[in-house]
Amino acid sequence: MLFNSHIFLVFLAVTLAGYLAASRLDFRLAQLWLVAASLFFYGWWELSYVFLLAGSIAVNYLAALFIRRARSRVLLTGGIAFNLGLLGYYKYAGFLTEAVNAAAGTGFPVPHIVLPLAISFFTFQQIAFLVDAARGEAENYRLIDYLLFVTFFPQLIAGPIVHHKEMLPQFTQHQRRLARNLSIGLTIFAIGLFKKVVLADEIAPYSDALFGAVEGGYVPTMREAWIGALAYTLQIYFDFSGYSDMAVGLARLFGIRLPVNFFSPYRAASIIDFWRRWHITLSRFLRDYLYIPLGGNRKGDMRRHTNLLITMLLGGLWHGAGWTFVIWGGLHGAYLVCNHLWRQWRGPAAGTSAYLPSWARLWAGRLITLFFVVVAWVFFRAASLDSAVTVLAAAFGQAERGVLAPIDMLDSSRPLSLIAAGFAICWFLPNTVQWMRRYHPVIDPSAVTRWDNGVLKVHWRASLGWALFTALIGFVALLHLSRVSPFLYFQF
Amino acid sequence: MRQHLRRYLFSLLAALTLLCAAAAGVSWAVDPYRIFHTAAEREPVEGIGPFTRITKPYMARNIAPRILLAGSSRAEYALVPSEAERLLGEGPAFNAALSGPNIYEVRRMIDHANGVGNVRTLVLGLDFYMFNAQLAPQDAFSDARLAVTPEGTGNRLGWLSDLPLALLSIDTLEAVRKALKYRGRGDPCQDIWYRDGTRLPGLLECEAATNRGFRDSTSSTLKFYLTSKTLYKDYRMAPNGLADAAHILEEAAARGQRVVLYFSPVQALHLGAIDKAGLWPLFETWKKEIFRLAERARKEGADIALWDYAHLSPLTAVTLPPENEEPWQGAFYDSHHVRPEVGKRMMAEMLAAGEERPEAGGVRLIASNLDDELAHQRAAFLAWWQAHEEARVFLNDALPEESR
Repeated sequence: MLFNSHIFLVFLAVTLAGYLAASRLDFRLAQLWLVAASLFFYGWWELSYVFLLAGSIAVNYLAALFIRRARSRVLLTGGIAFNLGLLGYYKYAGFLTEAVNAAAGTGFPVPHIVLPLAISFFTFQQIAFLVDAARGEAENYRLIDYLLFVTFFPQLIAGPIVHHKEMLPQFTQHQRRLARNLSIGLTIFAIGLFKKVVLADEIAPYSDALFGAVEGGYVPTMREAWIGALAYTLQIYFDFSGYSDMAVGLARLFGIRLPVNFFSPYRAASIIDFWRRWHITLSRFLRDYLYIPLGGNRKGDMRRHTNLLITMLLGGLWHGAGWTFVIWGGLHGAYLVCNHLWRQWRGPAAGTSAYLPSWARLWAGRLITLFFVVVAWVFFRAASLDSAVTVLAAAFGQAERGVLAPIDMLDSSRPLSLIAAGFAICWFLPNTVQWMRRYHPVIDPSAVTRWDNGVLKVHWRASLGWALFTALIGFVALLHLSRVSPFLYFQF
Repeated sequence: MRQHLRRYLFSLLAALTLLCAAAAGVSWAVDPYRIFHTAAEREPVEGIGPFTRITKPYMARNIAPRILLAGSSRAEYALVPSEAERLLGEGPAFNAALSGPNIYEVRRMIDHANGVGNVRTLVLGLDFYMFNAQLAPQDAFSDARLAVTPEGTGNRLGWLSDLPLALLSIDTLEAVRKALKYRGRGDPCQDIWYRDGTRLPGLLECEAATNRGFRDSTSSTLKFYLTSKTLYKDYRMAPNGLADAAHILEEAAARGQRVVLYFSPVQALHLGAIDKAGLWPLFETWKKEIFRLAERARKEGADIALWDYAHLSPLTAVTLPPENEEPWQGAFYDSHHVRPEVGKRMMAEMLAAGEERPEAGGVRLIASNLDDELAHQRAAFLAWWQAHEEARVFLNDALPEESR
């Protein structure tokens, strides 16, 4: 059941009505209803995986109970091993077998296991919970609250990766202020839906045309390679950002605030800044539960850079069991190391220049950052390393072209117009958090006070004009629901 | 503040409801897919090219056919329902053929027609590509809207699944726009569908209006067939495809229907493409498998005839015209679509009784002539192919370099 489907809208209406009715009777009943609805939502794809999810929750909840009492590192290790084992079996067994076969020349049969939806997300959330239980930082929550923390349907499938400290206290409180929650929730949901079904899906065919053709052996022209790569850069942004907005909006309908997951990443003036804006909750998880435990920046520069590379390589592997994802993560790790080295070298002068005005420095930083991000996206999107190399070689004028005719679709001015419009939206319009900052749409108070240079200063308010605007984009989005397309991050 | 938010929420929901109601109202009134019976039933539909998988099940429901014509776009252009009615002296006839279907889609359309009508005669055009394992049902196809489930039970409320699409979708509004634009005026280069499923080939007529146009459309379709995995590139016979064909025949036998199967005519150049793709042995196997299924159904009491037009014959041995702007009036629009006039002659050959049967280039396959006929077809094709260098060059030129 995709957020961008008619059946989901029916599910949402029934779930919300049931939740509001149950809340009037008994808050516990409302919580139970929400858990049941979330499990139904998850089971819609594949009923058998509800048992996997339930099993994972049961093991982690019990493990946390014992870890909290005994403060046992053995139990913690066992709990983490259980989670990683589950993830490893479902997500990486085939990839690792292929890698072993290739490296050692063995012929182990490669298992073809269907990846259970959301396993990467709910596994990470629960690992964080276990670690914090061992640190004494996780309270003794009731089972129903914990169930909601893991299964809450707005964030179950593709995040944000929520933290128990920010979510569980909300689940234990009866949320009121119905009109406020519904107004803000519906508005953010409409924006997210519009981003996904209109912006992302409109531009997707151009990246699909390029990468599909290249996978079939086609060698693109330089123009085609750049159009396809830039189209994908915008597609993945609007797709995932749209999904995250929808999740924030849906959660708010139930009175729950989620953490911010995107903050206009293509406005980042450096790679360090980019990772503070792109998939923020994943960056936070990797920082708190991987980078810092590895030693972070506490053991010298060499160790810090090694830790960064390891973190980003594993972050890449988290996205998918394939060498393209590993390289994507490795590239970003290398970018981050370079960015830190640059800052060290320049010292306090980093980010300043005696020759360039501040706006020129900002845009130079943005464009350079974007360039490297786009190069990395090519690996992220390509079905194979060969395809990625072909696209990049073509983009830099190094590909040997055959005599095949150009891809008709990429040979028009429309993709260029769409790309220009897409980047204009990314660079000059306020993001959802900024647009709605007066109503605190997300948890993080710091996120709602940031405002980027050059961004149009418009704010949402509960006025007739904004109601009509939101209705219009919601209507256009509804019209596009007949063209079903899954979210890119569902595959992770 | 609370008042503001309540007012905002009310305005938002009211505006959204109004917009949706307006879109649904227009879609319902124009009814481009013929779901609601609100549009003039007899009015032809234009501009619904991508949506015939939605429209035709509803057209079939309205017609409740006794004669069913089915297959791919080759049958859709060639088989005219009114001609079938004239030849058989009964009706109504309906053309349920679809563009580019796999055999499963064809089977399901026939299931649907059986569910909504009392089909007595089925004329089914079969194409080699329909049985390619890599050809999936197209996006607009949906089992849910058909009157019979794949398991064979009734599905009377299937139309409900189309309501969101029919009332509130950007595609429907686009179809509404086209319906309003073309209504009553007609665009000679747009295909037109009539309520009996007849498809007038406006686009093909325009594309192949001249000798040059015919050569171009033949060239581009040959290239498309040889470079597309869903057609002849890396063709693999679908394991379930023959089961779907068997299902059609078993169902026809159980219902006491007369069945006329035929392999659609394709130009000799198209046969050359099959040969070039290395698919000729599989092509013959496919014909033999269909014949075997037909024989099995015939032995179980079905009234079945199998005709073969997919071989070299006076109909298919097209001589390429010179590349100029002279009008093109040959039997084919491109490598595989024949004109309705040819379809009429084919139907007369297949449906007429005994001595009234005219020659249209078909061969009726029976147990005693099958192997000899296929061997003869192969030899005749090879001889023709060897003798026509311009055809070989034309096919070669049509292909991308790496496929030559």
